[in-house]
Amino acid sequence: MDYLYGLALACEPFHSSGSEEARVTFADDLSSVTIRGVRWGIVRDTLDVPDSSLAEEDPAVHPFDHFLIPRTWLDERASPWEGEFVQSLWQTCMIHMEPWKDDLLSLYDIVGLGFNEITDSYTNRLRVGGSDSHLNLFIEKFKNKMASRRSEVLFMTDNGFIDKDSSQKVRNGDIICVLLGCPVPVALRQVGAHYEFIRAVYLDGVIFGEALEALKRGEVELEDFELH
Amino acid sequence: MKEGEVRLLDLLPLSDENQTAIYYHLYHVSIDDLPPYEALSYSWEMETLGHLPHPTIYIDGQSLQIMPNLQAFLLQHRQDQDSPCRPIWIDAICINQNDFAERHQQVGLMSKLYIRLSRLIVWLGPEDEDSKFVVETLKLAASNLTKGRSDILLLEVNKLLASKKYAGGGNYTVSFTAFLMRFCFSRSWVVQEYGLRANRDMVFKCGKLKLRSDEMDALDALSPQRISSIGGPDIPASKEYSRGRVIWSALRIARASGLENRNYNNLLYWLSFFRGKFATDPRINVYAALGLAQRGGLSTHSWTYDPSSLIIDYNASVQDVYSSLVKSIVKSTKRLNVLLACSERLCHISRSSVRDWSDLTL
Repeated sequence: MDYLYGLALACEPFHSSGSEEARVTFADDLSSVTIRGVRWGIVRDTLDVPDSSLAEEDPAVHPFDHFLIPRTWLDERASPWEGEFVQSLWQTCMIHMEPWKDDLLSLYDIVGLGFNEITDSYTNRLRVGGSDSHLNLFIEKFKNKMASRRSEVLFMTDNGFIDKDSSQKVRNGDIICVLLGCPVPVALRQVGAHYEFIRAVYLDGVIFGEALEALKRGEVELEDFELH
Repeated sequence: MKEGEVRLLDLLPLSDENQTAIYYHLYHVSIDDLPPYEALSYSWEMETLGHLPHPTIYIDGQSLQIMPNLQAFLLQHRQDQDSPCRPIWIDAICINQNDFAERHQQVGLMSKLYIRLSRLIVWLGPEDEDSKFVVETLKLAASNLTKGRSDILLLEVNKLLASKKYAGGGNYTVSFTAFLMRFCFSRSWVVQEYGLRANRDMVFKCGKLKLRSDEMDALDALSPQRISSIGGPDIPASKEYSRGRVIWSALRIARASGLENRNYNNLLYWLSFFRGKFATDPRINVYAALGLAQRGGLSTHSWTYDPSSLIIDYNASVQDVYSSLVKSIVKSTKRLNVLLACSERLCHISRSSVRDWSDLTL
């Protein structure tokens, strides 16, 4: 099974642009395509997710016993509540866009169960550790889930959203857009006056049409992206 | 043309003055009030035919240029008629190709058209030595298989492989590959129709040779793997056989799957399936996938693939063919899912929004 095909199919439960139809113009010679969408954020910081296979090779360089997220990532978020941030992190780490790895129907269970794991049901407090400068997401449940995963990178945008990229292609400065007619957000890179398509990304909080709602409220605008 | 109407084509009888040229009559009829009619599925232009000049035919006194392969069918079809022939629906003639609005509207009616037809004719192109051999072998195999005599089939295959032309088996796979390629490049999801048994009456025509779908079924039994699995001789692979083997397995999947697995209706599935498998010409991946897919994108979005934006030309650059595929899928689906497959930059493609379907590695 082709990973890319799976990605395109598995996006079915996501609808970051609602039921909006794609608004696309192709150049006559097909050299470029102009796509309408919303610019959502710019990638500002990236973080490697712990990888058990790398840890086996060299635990000193790739430790598999902690996963520290700088608390500065919290600063840009609309809601500074730690619980919501950790849930968003958890969800982003756990979510698969490859359907043959996990049944998509159970995906929300995984996320839900996971959240129960990271909160103490008696005290209702988060089980994450860490210090003044970092949160540590490395708990038993997380470890089990991450043990069979390939390398991934978490990144955050200037407006406080967390995304995931398993191809490790997304770089600081790339823009995250919600294109009309596209079920998940995408990363684009500006090159001169045009853009290059980098890849689809999972962007927690923008996969169920939130960008369109922001558009209705006038918080964001539609613009045309010329892809080469 | 009114909404919900389609055109049907009549082949007019030969007149006393004219015994060679064929005259046609085209008329409108409501999709809900169709007389018994046939529909034609013919192949994307074959490499060899693609370079011939486009012949002209006359419909109600008006001239129309058509593809050489379609002309070849019409001439053969006229010859094969013994009784007054039923009207026929042929996309290139019954849809005004210059009218985008009409094309779009007609594509929406195509699923109804395909369900209601009396007979589907699949034109596999003019016959040649290879197709003659394959058709004869298929008929022979089919009659033995219905009688449950796979032992006799084996004997026959052994006899074939002992004959001069097919000695050693190399030419056997060459002939079958050529035939499978014709089948796979048939337009209008013929392989799906065949797999689903959607049409009671389906005839495959290759020149004057004819095959029923149950005879076509014998294809599976004649693959080198199947022959060796029932104790037959090992048939060595030819250079071309890699293509043939891919299509052979694609056909088996399409046949076995029926309606159960939505993936097999999906163009993206078949593009992935064929990815990197036709080393000789990367454009073939796209044309072969289109032959298999019933719909172009996601199964939840019910739409019919409109190939009118697609470049069907073996002289066009690979990048332009792949770009036109993106364009035709996006235009048909109004969705951008196909874009999500584009994250690798490979040798044939420099455009970041176009997926290279020829690549071997991820």
